[in-house]
Amino acid sequence: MRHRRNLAPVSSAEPFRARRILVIGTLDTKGTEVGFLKEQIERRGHRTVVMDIGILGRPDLPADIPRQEVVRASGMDLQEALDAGDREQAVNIVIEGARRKTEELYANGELDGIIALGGGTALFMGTAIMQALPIGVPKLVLSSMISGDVSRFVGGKDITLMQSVADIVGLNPVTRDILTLAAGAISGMVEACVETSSRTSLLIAVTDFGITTPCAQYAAQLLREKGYEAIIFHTVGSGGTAMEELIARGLFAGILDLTTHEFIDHLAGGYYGNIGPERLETAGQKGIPQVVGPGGLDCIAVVQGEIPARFRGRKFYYHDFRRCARPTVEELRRVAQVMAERLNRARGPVKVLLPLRGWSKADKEGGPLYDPEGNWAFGEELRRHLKPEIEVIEVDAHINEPLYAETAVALLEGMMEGGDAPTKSGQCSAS
Amino acid sequence: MSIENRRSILVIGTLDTKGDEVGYLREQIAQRGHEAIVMDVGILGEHALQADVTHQEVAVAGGSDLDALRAGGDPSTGSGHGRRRAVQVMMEGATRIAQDLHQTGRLSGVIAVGGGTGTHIGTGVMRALPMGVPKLMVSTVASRDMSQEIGTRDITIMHSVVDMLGLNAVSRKLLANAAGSIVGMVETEVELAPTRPLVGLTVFGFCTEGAMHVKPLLEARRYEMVAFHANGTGGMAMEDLIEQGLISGVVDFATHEFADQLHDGYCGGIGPGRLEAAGRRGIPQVVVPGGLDCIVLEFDSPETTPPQFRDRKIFWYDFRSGVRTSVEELKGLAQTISDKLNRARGPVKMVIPLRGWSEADGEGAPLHEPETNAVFVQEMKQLLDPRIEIVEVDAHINEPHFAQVVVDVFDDLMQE
Repeated sequence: MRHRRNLAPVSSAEPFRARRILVIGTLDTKGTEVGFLKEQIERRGHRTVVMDIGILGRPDLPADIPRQEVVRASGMDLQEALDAGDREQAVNIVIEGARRKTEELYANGELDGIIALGGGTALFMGTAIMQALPIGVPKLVLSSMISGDVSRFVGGKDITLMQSVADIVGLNPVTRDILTLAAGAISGMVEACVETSSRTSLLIAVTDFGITTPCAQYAAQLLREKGYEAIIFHTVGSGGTAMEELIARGLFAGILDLTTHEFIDHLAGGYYGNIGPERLETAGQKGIPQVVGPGGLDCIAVVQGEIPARFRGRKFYYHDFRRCARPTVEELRRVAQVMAERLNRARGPVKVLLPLRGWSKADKEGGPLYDPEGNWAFGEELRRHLKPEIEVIEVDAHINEPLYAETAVALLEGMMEGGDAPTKSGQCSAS
Repeated sequence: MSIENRRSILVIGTLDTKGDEVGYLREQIAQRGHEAIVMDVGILGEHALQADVTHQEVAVAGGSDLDALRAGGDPSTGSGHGRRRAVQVMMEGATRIAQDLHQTGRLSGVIAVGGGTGTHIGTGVMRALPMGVPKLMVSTVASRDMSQEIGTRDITIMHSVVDMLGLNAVSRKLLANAAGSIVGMVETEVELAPTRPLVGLTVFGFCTEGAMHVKPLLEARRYEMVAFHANGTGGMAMEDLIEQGLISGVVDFATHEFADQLHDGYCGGIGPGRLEAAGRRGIPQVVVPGGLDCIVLEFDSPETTPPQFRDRKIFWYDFRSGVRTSVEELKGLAQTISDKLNRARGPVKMVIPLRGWSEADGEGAPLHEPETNAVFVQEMKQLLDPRIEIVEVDAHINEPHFAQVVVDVFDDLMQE
């Protein structure tokens, strides 16, 4: 059997600098494994901070941040929850305390990356704690429970999940190999360096989906030509959620939410409908200008298994292993109502831009989901519910034609004039 | 930097849409002293970035060629079957090339970047590489059900948060992290060292206590133990590692997955190869009916109990509950299990705890039904090849005495 161990890095663009990695685990059940991981990270030359998120048993490894300190940071009473036999509350208390400690370390510049290990508990608690850190800070979870539905754990964060093929119980050649690789992975991440660009252009968020990609590409190219930088979000539930988070952090000067596909999946039971309550709301709350389009609303994504009975008999588009069903007029009207309700709460300028010749690669003349009547009903319903300040503009073009993207960019630029430049973040080594 | 420490990392992406990102990964990997081998799995367009393995080479390795794939289906007209086939061809071609690079010692790790299609192709290639080869998928769709993409493999998935369509402040930072991660993984040094024989052990929640008794006993006899959570993917991961020759013997303590498989239960989802790899490779195995007393399903109240199970004994757990397996079901399981064990080329023994097969099945426990368990044992005695001995132990599965017998029996098989 091979033995793997961590060494100092081979080469780096800059002189080696020891970084600080927060290692979290339940030290009552995984003390040995956490100890081995810590040792491997230190062999590579980095420093570790071990935080205990165990609840019940005696820790069998000393922690830098012991459980008592974690619980104290939560401001809640763990003993009370334990006495009441409320395991869920006990777990929540530890998560809350650990999040606060993590935020504090990060704010003090004492954290360059974070790693959690274990089974289902590590996945649940570790990812919950990592939500407290901004995008860009390396985050790694090693767990034997990755191969399943991870959407409620990852959310809109840049969390890296490493599947452990064996249970992380005890040290043996398989678990040692995996733990060593995990130590290498987090070490390599915290060593990563992005050269700081001297140019600071305004950032614009753009949404897309596979079948509206040309639209996002045209828009991004136009924005670049005008001196902006476009950041594109894939509207598959998590992508939209991540965009809302970055909008909340003040990263963007304007929003081109031309692909709102997630709403039809959300309301009609499609695959990518796992959107948060903030979707389509954050820009409005922050008063950031936005242009909204119906990209991909023609398609309800069906990914795995048989086509559900409720979609049978509908028009279908075959993408690859994914398929799309055409929504009914009623479903589109309902989507229009929900979108209007959310947009009406916006405190900043909003314009809706409808392409009259189709909303995606599948919805165009001769395309499998082409249905101008359905699209028309959506527009009508939207107009009926939107507040008068929000203008609905039509373009006699298909969404993937340059004219549509050009119009969208022009409308956004018009609304952005006179706005303040946002602060930028995201430099070398996560800080 | 010494040349001997320089490693080659395969970078997979569709250059027509992800060329800039792949180029940035290559740059980051090179900056850190390693070589990137860029493989283009895109079908449609071209990109300024020069691939080391071109899309034409990939298409040919997949048994087709680029022109044929491009002509096969135009996704814009909705003939997606052609596109689906093209994706399949590129995945197969990429897999063959990656396997060849690995077998000839030219690949230390693999990283892929992509959206839905790119993740499908990238993880498809990764699933075909052996355990221990670092594998990182940077994906825009990593925040959902990943069971098909990861399967039972040691794949690491990084959620890219933003869509990978051009470089910007956010994507540069994420890609630098990703490149750092794969570099950190391939820089772990692998050395050969003699170790003790490795034993695979399956564990299931309701018989964890028993499995925990097994561990120190195995270690006392100079074995090392690796545990697999028998939750569907765990059992299959063990089968994979057995196939790869990493495991010297098996204690299949929790065969519970077979019971769940009957009704699509919580730990079902095993493949047809479960309980077969050890036999095929001829390594010793001891099989225990741990957890065959119950089918674990997601319901937590009498109202949510599926109608077909309302007359059965139920073990209320958390959001999951255990339903007692019936005589008929156990007869069927005896057939399935004996068929597999009879084909084994190596030594096999079955060890049965007579006082209960899990926390749910024991004196005073809600699923206790010794007469039903006895039917299973009776069936096994009739169906199993006479060379496979059944050892009955007057103990509960979670008792130390039972673990002692299991380890004794296992050790004897290993000495044979």
